[in-house]
Amino acid sequence: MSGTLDWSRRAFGLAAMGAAMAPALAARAEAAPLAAGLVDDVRRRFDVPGIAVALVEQGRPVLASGFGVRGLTDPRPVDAHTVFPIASNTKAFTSALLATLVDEGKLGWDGHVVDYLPGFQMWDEWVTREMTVRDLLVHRSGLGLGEGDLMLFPKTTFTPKELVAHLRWLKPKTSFRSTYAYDNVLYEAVAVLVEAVTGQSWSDALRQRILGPVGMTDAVIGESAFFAAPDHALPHAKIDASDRGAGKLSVLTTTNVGDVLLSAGGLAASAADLSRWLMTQVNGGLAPDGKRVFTEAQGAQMWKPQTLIPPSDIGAAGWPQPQYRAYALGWEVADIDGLMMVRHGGYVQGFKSYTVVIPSQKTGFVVLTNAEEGYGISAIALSLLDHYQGRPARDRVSQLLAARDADRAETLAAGAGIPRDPGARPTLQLSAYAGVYRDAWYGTTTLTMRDGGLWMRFDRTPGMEGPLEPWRYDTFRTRWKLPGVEDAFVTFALTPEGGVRDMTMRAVSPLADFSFDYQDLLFRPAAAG
Amino acid sequence: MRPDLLKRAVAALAGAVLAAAALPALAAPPPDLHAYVEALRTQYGIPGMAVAVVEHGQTSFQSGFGVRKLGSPEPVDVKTIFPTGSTGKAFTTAALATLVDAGKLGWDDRVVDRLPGFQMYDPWVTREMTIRDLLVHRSGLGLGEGDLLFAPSSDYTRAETVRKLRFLKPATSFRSGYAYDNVLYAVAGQLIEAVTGQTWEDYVREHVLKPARMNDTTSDHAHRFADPDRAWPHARIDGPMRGLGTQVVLGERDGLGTNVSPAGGVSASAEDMAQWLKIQLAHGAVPGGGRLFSEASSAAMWKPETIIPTNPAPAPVTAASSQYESYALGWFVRDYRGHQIITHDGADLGFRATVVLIPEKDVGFAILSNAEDGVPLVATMYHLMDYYLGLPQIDWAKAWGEYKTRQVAGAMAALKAQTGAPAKVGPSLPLAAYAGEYRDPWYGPISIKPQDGKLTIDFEHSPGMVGELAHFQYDTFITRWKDTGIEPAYVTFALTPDGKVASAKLKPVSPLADFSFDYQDLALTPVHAGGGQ
Repeated sequence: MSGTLDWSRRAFGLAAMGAAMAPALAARAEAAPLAAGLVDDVRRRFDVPGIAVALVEQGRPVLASGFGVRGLTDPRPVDAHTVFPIASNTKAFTSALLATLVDEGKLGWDGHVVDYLPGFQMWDEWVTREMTVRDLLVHRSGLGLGEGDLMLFPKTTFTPKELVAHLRWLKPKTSFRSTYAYDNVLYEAVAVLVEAVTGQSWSDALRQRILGPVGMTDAVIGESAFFAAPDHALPHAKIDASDRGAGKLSVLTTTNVGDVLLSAGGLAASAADLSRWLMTQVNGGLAPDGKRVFTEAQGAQMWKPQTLIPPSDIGAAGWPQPQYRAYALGWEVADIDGLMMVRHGGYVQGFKSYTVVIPSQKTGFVVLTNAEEGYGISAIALSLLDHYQGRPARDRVSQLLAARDADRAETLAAGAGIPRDPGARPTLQLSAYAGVYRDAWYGTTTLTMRDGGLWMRFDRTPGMEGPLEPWRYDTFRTRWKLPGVEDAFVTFALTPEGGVRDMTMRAVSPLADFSFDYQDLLFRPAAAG
Repeated sequence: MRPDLLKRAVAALAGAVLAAAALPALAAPPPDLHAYVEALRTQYGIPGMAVAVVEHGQTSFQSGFGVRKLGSPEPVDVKTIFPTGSTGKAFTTAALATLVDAGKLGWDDRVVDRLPGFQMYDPWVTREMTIRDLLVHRSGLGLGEGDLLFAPSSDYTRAETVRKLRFLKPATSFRSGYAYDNVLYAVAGQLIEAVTGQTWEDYVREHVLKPARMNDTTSDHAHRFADPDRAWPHARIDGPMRGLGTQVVLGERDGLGTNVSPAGGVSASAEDMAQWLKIQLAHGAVPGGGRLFSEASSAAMWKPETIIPTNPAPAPVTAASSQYESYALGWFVRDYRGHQIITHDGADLGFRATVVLIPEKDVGFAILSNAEDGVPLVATMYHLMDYYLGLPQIDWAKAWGEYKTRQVAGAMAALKAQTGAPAKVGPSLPLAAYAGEYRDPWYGPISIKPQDGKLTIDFEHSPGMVGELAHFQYDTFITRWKDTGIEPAYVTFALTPDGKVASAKLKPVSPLADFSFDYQDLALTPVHAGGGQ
């Protein structure tokens, strides 16, 4: 607790009112610019139990505070030390960890991965040879959006080394370095690379090289450690209706992150921690207590655009379309009205978060939440940016609520559901579909008969098992036992002889997170014997 | 070809500076624009310039300045054509866009599928390279690599130039970074010919310039040289390095080779450039009706494809810094003080051009000149951007002038440090021992011959690249090209243990040499072992 910020909510409220009344420019340097009640307004109207905010202005801490409760079943208040999973905001920590190794001359951003990680292999041997450390971090490998994520989420029995060994089976979707497509698996490969270079696990190296020097004393790594933390938020989502996000908010029992594959999104931290992290970032690698975590040169490297993100890519929820948007090393770079900022979002089941840094103002903030309301986070972020960019304050909460509902309706309309055929009769007897199936990169799935129906189990994913419901033709639908795991259609193709040739899948909901990359699987019956 | 009398009549009008005064309904360009440009032109000794400004679909300013050719009285008017250098890349991408719109090709088609026989150094790159890759400077070729195939002009055909790509060794891994090239635009030109059966020149004339109603503009040299209302090239080549010394007229047929014209072989007038700006700002719609390319193609051509690393501009031009810069299809896309601009500059031997589009203001302008001094163009460009974006005005003429002074001083110091006091050592061998036939894998034959007790070097496919090799120090010589407009190069020989020439490497002498003089990409080896006679 010592050495961290701990503004009380009362103090914050006063500062916020001061800011609201002061002219924008005068307020910029000193006062917290959140309009009084904004965060609670977002909590109430977006149905978010708890929010924590860290805010750094001109390199100095201004705010690290909590709002609301840790969970629907834990009414204790969220405070500056309540930890939240920060999900993909972890990627910036992984690249900062690499930056410390670059500073020490232990690796180069443009070094070839195969030189540091013997045995590293992608589908294409030319890509294997040419892929650099930088390529691992910037989503231009040719893998599709979220390709291979089912090796990670929901938590699996894969080890990092196994995951790296399976990369060679992930078929590229586009030509190497031709296209931006966000991935997680290559960030997991970084963990193995770090271990190969330092002899330390990614977690140990992160603690020693980043979390310790920055002074992030609340931070924990992995799901078990998160739930064991004395002051942690609980995950929430709306999953009782047909599409995620509708229905009633409930507390979930897992984030699906697990304890093993963590370098793409496995860190959890508090607002107090992230205030120190923001200070380190805006001050070019200098931690609040004066320790140098990484050099200014590496700080600049990590914010240097590497892969252009096309306008067609879904950006931050409800943000205006930037002139320019690119991925850097664990960060996105984008402008609003010509002002460049560095940003990243994070999402794991039950938690969304967002980080924004305005390098030219040495200002930044993190918003942590224990629900899945990205537009709610944007209401806070855009209100802050209105202030920092000198725009008149406006009702961002109402605007983003409307944007959320409109976008959701549009997505659902575009991906109109496939109705169940009440008289669905699969071609073969149900037992003929049973057996062990194998996909090149994921591994095996076992289909058995249970209570007169088919039962599917993803053998590497403890949460993914349940009955298969006949849907239409030779397509079935999963009913996973673990709440929160997106369901999928399962389609069998037959051979001329009437055997099963292969089994393919796709997510049922058009709103399903891209990490449920069912469409990348191609299961074939495993050889008998 | 063109109705020259009509041009004269219009020129007379232009001479009266029609601009804002003549067309009062239009938005107003800066009232002092004519005086601003003219002051810069005279201060920097540029023989002739032409400027066109378009606002909301209307020409709000167009004017010629000075003369077409030093020593001749004919004034530059709005119909005087100037080679526009690399601003012509956007004409090649517009030509491709017409084919994309017609469903005849796609930006992401593989080049090998459209241009049989196309081959890069690396077979994987050969297989993966798309039409888009040809246009966005991320192929792995180094900056200006291969440009000696057309700068200065050579007798290599476009097809031969494309065939030589397989010998150009990549400087970086495919698509890993940005490095401006020209030779891949020659591939785009050949590809147009393969798909349409028309040369790049003919296709651009019939399917871009004609439907655009750019009646003065031409894509080929024969038309350019047949037009009496054309600007002549000028440069300063009698000083310690190109750009310093007296402004002189260059031989107008000693320019860049037409083999790489798809990278910048369009000659245009100010009036036509205004038309081009209108079409660009209207996303393909031609004023008065018709469409040159679709909205979708317009968006594709302006969509950033390759990141260009940015660094803050040095004082005193710090305000010119961009927060981001990228290359699209024949265009640079960047910001200026937070506002997006679409732009390109162009350089031909003896000419400079700049094109700027400000889509958010529906404004564009083009600046053409018949000399190589860049300050008048860049100062006018920033002056106009400040004006149209409503930004605080900066004295860009002063700032860029100071920048140029510092740049030249730095280059002079570097040149002096390099060449000031050569070691009085060498050459290691008798001169005749350096003579012989040499070959570079991509350029081809280069011969070195003894002549009157001296050595001469001859780039056999480049008419102007022949001249004396003067000893500098050790085993390094300096070229003294007959065509003094060509940048001199160091030629350094490496010897075998038994005292024969193993190889020779080249490097430009001037620190300010244009990157198209890519001497450093050459690796000469003797055709006959030993390199002697």
